[in-house]
Amino acid sequence: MFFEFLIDKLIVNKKDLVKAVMGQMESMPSLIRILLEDAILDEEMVYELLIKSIKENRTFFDVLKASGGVTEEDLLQLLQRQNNKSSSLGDLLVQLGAVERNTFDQALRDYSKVRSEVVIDSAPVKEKAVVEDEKEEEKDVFSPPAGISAAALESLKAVQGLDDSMLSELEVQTSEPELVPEPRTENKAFSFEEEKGEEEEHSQDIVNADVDSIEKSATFQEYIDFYSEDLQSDIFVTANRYRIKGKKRDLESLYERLVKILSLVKLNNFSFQEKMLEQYESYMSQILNGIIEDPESWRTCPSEMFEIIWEFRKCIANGMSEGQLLSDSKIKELYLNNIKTVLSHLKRSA
Amino acid sequence: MKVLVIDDSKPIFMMVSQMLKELGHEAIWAENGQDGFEKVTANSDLELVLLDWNMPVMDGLEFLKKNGAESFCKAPIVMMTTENKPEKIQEALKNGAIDYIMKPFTADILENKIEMVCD
Repeated sequence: MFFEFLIDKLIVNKKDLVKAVMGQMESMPSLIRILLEDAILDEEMVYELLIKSIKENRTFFDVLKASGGVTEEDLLQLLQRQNNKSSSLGDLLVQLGAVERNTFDQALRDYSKVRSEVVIDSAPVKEKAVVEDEKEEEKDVFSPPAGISAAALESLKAVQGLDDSMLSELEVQTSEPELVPEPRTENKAFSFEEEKGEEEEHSQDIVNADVDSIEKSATFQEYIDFYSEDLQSDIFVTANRYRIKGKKRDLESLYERLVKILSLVKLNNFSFQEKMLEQYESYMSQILNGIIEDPESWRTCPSEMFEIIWEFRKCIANGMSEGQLLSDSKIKELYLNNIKTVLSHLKRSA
Repeated sequence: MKVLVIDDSKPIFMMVSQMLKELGHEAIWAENGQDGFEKVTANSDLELVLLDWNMPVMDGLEFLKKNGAESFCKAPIVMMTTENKPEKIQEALKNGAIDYIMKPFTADILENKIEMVCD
């Protein structure tokens, strides 16, 4: 577990860690607050449910569930959002002065490496195989992403000629809890064990979870395998040639690769990359279909875009999230500027 | 087409030179970046430069940087390398190379590369 790793490696002491965990808990908004802030319920409905819960001596959420207002699944999502809205452990430890940011980030990387050394049991999945539930651990390892700051989004909005709906969409996307990427297959710590005598329903859940994890890791592996160093080197060269010569065949080649990467990015829910690649897909297809001219001023953009997308790919392969990469102000600026440029071109072409 | 091959290995030059000859091109040799600079200056009709990465005196990247600063070479420069790390390739491209070719390569690969670059 990451907590133990931090203590064992003497990165932080127990006292500071406990303080940070307490701070994290304090920063966690109540579920009622989330329900109100996200406009799932209004004040009147909350009031009625509260009164009912007091009168019937039941918890608020029991009453809420019984009212049919939310499902079990909705509640789980709310809990996830509650968790994501709390401060990250790393930020709190840094604020407390318990650890330097660089040291903490290095610890995260080291911990990811340690985890990656876990040997995968590649035996066929048995019906009652159990996937070790590391979700709680993952939350510690991958602290909530920094995402894009409000100020950065404001500056993006301020750019002349941008599509408001597109930007709103991006804003929503960046403010939502980011899906933590699946670590690459070799990072996944599977633990298969026999569970004799368990109830049928429980074992079915386990099998479903297992299949789901394996499917996710398969798509993740496909992304890593397809988007290889060789491919990226080739993309760099093609994008460079396109920048210099503006040949249609180079653009076609870039487009083909982009579409494949985009499909894998979508499958893996890498939302920041998806947003960027979608704009390019749209713009490049218009050029290739002869709908718009290929402006010379735009020819540097694919090269820059693929440079950023490759940074995402490298970080994700190392067990980091997209948000963690975007916490690097230089990358964030490059990302925003690049999207801004392609959106401007799209706007003009429209 | 006159092609300058900058590589500190004579056997490699001879091999590349043979391929270029088969493809109907003329090859001249420089054994490092500094020598390459002199050959470029002396041969204004060069149409392509094949540049090795690791060389004594002046390596490939230094040659690119010098050219970036002084623009003495107008011909497209293709890096010949065993290094396929995207970051390294990108570094070469950012410093003015137009393409790269992985060593070892065949005459077909070289022909294809020349077509792509010089088209």
